[in-house]
Amino acid sequence: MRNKLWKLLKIQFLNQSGLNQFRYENDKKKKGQAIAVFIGVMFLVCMVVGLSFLMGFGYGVMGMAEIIPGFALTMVSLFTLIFSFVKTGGYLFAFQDYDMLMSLPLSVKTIVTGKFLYMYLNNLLFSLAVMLPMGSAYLLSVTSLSFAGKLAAGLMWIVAAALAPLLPMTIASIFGTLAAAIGSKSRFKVLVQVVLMLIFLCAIIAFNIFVNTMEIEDHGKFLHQLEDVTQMIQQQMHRFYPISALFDAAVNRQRILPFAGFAGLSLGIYYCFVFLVAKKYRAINSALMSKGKKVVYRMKKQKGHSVITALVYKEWKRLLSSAPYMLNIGVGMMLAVIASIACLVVGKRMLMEDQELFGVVRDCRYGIPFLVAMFLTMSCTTSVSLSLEGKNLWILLSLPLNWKTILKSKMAFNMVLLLPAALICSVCLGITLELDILSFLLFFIVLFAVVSFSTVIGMFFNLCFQKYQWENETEVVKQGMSVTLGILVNMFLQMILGGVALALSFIIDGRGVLTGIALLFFALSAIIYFALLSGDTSRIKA
Amino acid sequence: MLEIKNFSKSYTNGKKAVDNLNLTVEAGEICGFIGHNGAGKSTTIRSVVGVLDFTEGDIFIDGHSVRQEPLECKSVTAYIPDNPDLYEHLTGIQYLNFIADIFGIDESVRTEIMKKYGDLFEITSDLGSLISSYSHGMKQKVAIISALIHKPKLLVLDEPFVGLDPKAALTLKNIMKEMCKAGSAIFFSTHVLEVAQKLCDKVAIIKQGSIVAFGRMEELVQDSSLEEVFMEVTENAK
Repeated sequence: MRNKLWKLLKIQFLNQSGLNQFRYENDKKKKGQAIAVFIGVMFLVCMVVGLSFLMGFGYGVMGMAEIIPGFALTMVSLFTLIFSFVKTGGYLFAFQDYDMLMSLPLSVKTIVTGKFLYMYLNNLLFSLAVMLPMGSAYLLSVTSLSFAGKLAAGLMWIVAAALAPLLPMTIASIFGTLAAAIGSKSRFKVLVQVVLMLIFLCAIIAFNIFVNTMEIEDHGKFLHQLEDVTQMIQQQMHRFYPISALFDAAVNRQRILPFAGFAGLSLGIYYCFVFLVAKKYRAINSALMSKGKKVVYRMKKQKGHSVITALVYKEWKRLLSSAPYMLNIGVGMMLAVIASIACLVVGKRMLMEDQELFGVVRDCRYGIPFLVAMFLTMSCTTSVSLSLEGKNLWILLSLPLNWKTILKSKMAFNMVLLLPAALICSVCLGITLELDILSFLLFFIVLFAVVSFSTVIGMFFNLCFQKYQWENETEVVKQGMSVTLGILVNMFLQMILGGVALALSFIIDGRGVLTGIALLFFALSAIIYFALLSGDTSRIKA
Repeated sequence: MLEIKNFSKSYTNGKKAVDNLNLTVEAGEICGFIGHNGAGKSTTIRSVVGVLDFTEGDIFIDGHSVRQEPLECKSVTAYIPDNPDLYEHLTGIQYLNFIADIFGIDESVRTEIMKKYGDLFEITSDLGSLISSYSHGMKQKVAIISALIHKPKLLVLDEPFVGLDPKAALTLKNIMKEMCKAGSAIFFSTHVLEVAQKLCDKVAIIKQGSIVAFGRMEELVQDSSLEEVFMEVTENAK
């Protein structure tokens, strides 16, 4: 089995990593893209390594080195959980090479293990990039350990870095599998899967808020009882992610038993999962890929639409057809809307009860649109929609469509999707913060401008990194360079501009600041838009 | 209707996939395009329909250059690829309406065409189902109907009979003949030489990117079969 598993992993790596494109691609542009992606990933890894080390070192300097192990493990686990969550659907189940793999002399367990381990390898890089620098910072900062103790702790950090992604991935996969299994029985497979996964995601967020709220309520008691901030933070992390307590005890107190417990739990739950999924794997996949009940169609008079409407409708159906697409691209928008409604329903009451807090929030109101925008711009269909054409690209290219019309329709769809969400968010926040009509309009105009910018910049990135050869949509909507760049650029811009708007609003009229920023975004959007659509040569390269 | 002039297509490493290809297909003619796997058939076809870019030579459809006036060319052309990768998330009828919308086909005309060809290919009752639930042959049928929706002057097909059941294959052959009678031109690739011999007015044989034989079927084949001619020219050609 090991030999076959190794070969399966190797072939997945060669197929999806871009290494083969780098080695054998004759097209210099495509080869350049592969190199750019590699450089981009390495840059991100370097950033994560640097930030992790600085964070760990910072805790060490503050004399809080003991919280580093639990903190590092919790961070890695939380990110792995969220990032693995949406992958399960398209990775473990109903993937394109399912038929091919199942027809080969491979056991189901080998296939499931191969798919799972490939997901694991993807997450391992992030785990190593966080755990090893934090481990180094810990070993440099901790004073309570002898040289031998530090050596043992170092070894535990290395093993833990390798094991850290296993448990959250397994938990995410269990829920992904459950969602897939339940969804497979429904006619609306994708929708059921997406709703179940969203419920799970909301449950994680609610649990986090609940834990933090408990902490705030017990704050005074905790400080009084423990009189130690380090212990308080440790306690909070242990409550949120109990496994971190085992790793904490193992590293800080040099105990082998908690470490064995951590390793045993990670490996044990993973093995149980693979064993159980292998048993039902064929049934779940068969149900997911079943063709459903036949609907007898009777020809009736058809309705015509304009070219743009037809193209936008096609984009809408594309979004609805895929759980990974909906979850990855839709999650930011949905979180923005849910959070805004929650602010209106719950926040308003809380703010009314605490006038001091209400005053603080109102003072900061000119930074709030950028917080909403940060979530909204995570939902940028233009950064992936071109690549998602995949094997269907021939349809658009062989139709009498100008390439500019294709790009316009993709941008129009993103606007159509996000502007109603922006309006809902503006209305909810406007009522919650008791904004005057001008400020409310400015909230919406800022969101409009930001959405316009994210639309064109997403399109720009997708044109730079066009990828039509993929086995799994996740390669585009999750791992694609264009989507990563789109999210990062938008996020940084919103953070910076939110800070600037907030700071300036204390000096000059905040409405003027918002107007200026909105105008800046509109101007940038217009420049990029016209640059994208300039020239006659098609920018879409098959 | 279709004129390919000194057409060459190179890979980025300089190797030519197609080298100085010339051929013409007049209105009312069916031209078969045959050759070994990797000979350059699909590259030529994909360039004709505007899916692939090219730099050397030119291709004219109804007098318009594919390079200079791509939209005019595409407006009168229909293409059916060898592997019908259609939008799987749409139903058959949604896909057909999408294509009709792009070509700006009148509502009553599109309904009539969809009904006519849907019934001919016995797929009307399945048009309400998602394309993802279709077999290869059913997808091929939807691709064919979508190609006929705007009554193209040039129909370009890449291996059109693969995956079709015998009745559908016969229906397609009849449609091709009807279209030619109505003045359209058809250019298609195939490996089924018997079909090509019976159906085509002209044939082009391609080997390693170059045309090794091109002409009217009866002149090329004479007393032998297309299979024999194909074997002879491809083995003798350098």
